[in-house]
Amino acid sequence: MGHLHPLTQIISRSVEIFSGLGFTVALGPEIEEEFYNFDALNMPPGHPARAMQDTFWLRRPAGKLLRTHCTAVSMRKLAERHLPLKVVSVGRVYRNEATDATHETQFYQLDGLSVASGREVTLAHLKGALEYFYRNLFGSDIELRLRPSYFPFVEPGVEVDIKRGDKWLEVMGAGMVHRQVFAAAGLDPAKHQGWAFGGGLDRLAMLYYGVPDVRLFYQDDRRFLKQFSPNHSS
Amino acid sequence: MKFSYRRLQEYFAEPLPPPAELAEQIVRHAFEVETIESAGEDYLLEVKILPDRTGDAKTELGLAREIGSILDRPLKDPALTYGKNQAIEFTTEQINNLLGLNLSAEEINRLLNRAYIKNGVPPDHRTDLAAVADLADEVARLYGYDQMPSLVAKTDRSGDDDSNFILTNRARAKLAADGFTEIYGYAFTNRGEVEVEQPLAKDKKFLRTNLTDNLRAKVKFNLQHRLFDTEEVKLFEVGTVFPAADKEEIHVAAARGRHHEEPEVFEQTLEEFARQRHLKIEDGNPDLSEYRAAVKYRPFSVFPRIIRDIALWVPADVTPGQVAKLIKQSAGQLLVEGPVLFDEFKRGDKVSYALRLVFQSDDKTLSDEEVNRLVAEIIPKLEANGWTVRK
Repeated sequence: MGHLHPLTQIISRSVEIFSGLGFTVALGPEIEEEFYNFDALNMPPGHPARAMQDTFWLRRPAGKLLRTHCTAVSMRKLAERHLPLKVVSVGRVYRNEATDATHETQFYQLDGLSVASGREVTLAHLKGALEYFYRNLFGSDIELRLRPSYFPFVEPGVEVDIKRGDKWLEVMGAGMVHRQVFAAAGLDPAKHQGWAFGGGLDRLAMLYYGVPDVRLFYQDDRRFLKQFSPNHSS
Repeated sequence: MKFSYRRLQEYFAEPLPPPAELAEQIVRHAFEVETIESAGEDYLLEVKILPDRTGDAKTELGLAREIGSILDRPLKDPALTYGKNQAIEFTTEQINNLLGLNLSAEEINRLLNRAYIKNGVPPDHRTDLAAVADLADEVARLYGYDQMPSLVAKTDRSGDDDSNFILTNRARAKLAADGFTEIYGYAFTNRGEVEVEQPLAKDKKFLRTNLTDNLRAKVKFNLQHRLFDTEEVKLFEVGTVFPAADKEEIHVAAARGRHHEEPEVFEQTLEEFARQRHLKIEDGNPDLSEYRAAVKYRPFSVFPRIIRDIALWVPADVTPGQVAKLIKQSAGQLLVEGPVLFDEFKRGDKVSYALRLVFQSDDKTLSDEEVNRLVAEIIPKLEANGWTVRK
């Protein structure tokens, strides 16, 4: 029997956990339109948050880019306006930044979006869903912390940390869908409510397996890959 | 931005909590505190002011006001002015509905007052507050995310997973079952049809048009670490390629090869592969749990390895596993792979096993002499069982 890549394994496990809550999986294009990656997510041209994302723009056609986050896929699903919506998207994203042990130009993200009528999709539900996810992945004793943060496409926005040893590690950004995002999807912000989250899967896999360097995932070295086999011994 | 603990203290009549405790409160209710440095009698707090708060919180007074809000403690002089911001209309129900809380109107007002928001009117320094959700943010963070209940809403799934997600996973399961190891190759390469602006390197200007170029190279690369010349390396990838301007496709590709052989490869679009191998969307996303492992990764050494073979005669009822176990017990930490059985034959009531051992150190290049010594220590332990080691 061969083996599946550790990122495939972590995607499979993550999706299984969210399926248990009623989520389905969405995919989207890796070459993305500026609209879904930025404008619709409350990052119009000139917005400082755009510069922070280190985007790879295509030489041709102008205005197309390599998606910087799977939130673009969530946005596409929201714009279809089939509500209520409960989707997770997984896939490869790109950032134009120097690589080191914790940064790669390509990596994988898990992004989630839940939109329904008010009392079913509150910030307390977001907290509950994320606790459910990390407890199922890492074990019920995992400590989780939400703290205030800022992302243009959510309000309130939070950063999610999990505790490993005596250290808190950032694993996700999340929050309540911003009114401008509903408006961009053609939905009335006064009548809709939802929560969203997004985080890196490579980082999650590094924590899960104890992999010290993200670049190992993309070096195609069997000495690395064969260790992630259920029947590997040594 | 760095803030002096002593200077912050000057804004308050009452003593502030000690620096570490103060930092913890700031993190939980407002901003990340990256470091606390001691500086003589003072401490410096490196606080990461959030982008929407750079207008008001990037000054000592600004952060002191924020600390006042968090600790619910008055400043000697908060220097508040009002009049520039309009009142934000909100109801208790709106705030509770967004947060999933059941706070009373009084409790909400008390929390907003701590942020100097009076009857929905933000103070002049808060130019970032414009809508109900912004007020809810103030309520949530001052109330405390730790205090917030966790609600889990399980519902039935209302649709199907994306068909490409189903098919890529079915393709992966098929190829893994056929003995292939999955790789995730790099998207950037030196030639192609889709070019990016400002590439990270001259040879990474383009997006890949196929998966096989990399697979072929990686079969050869992995053959360098083979244990036997007859060993076959089998790799596959399921991934996105960019075959023409503004076009992307999901491909399935695999390659297999042995030492001194050109790898045998195939590459197809996901649709073609699915058709040929009878993968069906309606079967749904496959259960890949049998391929999953909750292992702890062990770094592999970058130093050269040394291979040794041991062949021996044992009574026919002795299994290769028994022999391997004894070798493993005797070999020590430097045995990193094996013993792998690669030959066996019977003669009369005896059987001959040949086993391969790989020695490697995590921190140096081993010498032949060192490894010879290790093997020389194993052999007497095998012979002590009456087994004959072939020399």
